[in-house]
Amino acid sequence: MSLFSGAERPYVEGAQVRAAVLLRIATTPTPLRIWAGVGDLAIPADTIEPSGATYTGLGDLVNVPAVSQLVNGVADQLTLILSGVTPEILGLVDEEAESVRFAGARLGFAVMGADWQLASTVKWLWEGVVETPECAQSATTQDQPGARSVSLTISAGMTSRRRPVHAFYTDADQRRRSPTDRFAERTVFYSQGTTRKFGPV
Amino acid sequence: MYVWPTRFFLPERFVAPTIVGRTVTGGVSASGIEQVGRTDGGGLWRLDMSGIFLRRELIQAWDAWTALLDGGVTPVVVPKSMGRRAPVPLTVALPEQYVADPFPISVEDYEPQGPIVATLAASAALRATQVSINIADGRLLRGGEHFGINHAAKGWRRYVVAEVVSRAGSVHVVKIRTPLREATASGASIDFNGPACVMRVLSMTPTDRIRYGQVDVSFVETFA
Repeated sequence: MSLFSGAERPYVEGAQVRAAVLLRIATTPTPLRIWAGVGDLAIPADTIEPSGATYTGLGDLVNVPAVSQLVNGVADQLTLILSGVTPEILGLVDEEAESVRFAGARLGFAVMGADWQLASTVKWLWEGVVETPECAQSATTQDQPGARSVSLTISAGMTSRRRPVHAFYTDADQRRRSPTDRFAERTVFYSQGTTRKFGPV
Repeated sequence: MYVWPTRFFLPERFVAPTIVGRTVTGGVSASGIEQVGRTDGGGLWRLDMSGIFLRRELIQAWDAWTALLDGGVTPVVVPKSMGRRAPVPLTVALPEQYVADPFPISVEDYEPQGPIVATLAASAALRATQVSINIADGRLLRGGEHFGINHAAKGWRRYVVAEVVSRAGSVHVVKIRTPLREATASGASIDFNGPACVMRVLSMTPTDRIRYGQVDVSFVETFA
């Protein structure tokens, strides 16, 4: 099944593509709705926004972050950074941090026609969970004043795992998992970068 | 609100506000095809004015504005007339941009003055790029005319006529850029005399002389 319908596909396949990237964070009582364009954008009703909604533009030309779909359980993180905030904003973020933690987040994508009107429904491609916002202030140097920034990390998958992705097949690791298992007893005799053929030649 | 005194801080040459956007591309493929994308929803306005010659009290006014605009966190309404490029009636004098004082003064609202009278002939939705404009007093539109609308929530926003689709008498159906910042009802006043936009300063060069100086300033549309 294609992501875009037959009517929508020409807008994606052309040499010039006008796209809208939307971010929805399920905060209470009102979800946070922002998009990467300028000004407000009204979207039609869909499964995520049953009554339709108006997304607020970020008011500037921003880079759209790259995201990837989870494959084989590799977790992904998306970090949004807002720089140049006032001390009051930092204080508010600090106070309200717990209210956004673990809120569901969705990243959506839609295409627009040559007249900058929506030409497709919003495709909600990526889903994650908000982690605790962080505040930071860089030091003031001789050349540049310090800047305050707020960063918001949205994670997809188990980013809180303490165990690394890779496991080691040393005898010690395997014995920790299974004390009587001698499976990895002879891995110390393998040289790095070599392979051994098994089975009939 | 504060209104930038464009008529006092005139740049060396005429400059027109431009729409800036951001494009992304994945590069050129082996077959020579390059796909270019825009995610800014139509872009926003930018105005760069260079070679502004100051002397006497204008230098002092420039310093006052530099302090007031706070490096770009204070929004200001920036009017910029398009002179003869506006649809001004041929028998009437050119529209002037009304600001009484070069020093910052907080006013209730920006009130443009001039001979061109125009209104929105039909209601337009948020982000509409095709609207109907009734020119009650002024030349026929041809394309390229800048105008401003004072929206209820978004304030003064600037637009430009990209194409005249059709005309019936004094009512023009036109394509505009940028998309409409706010839904606007029929009958809303459209200003071609001194189109203005709520902007913030990107950069202001400081004065380095006591009696005279030449400075530059850049503005970008803001939604603060």
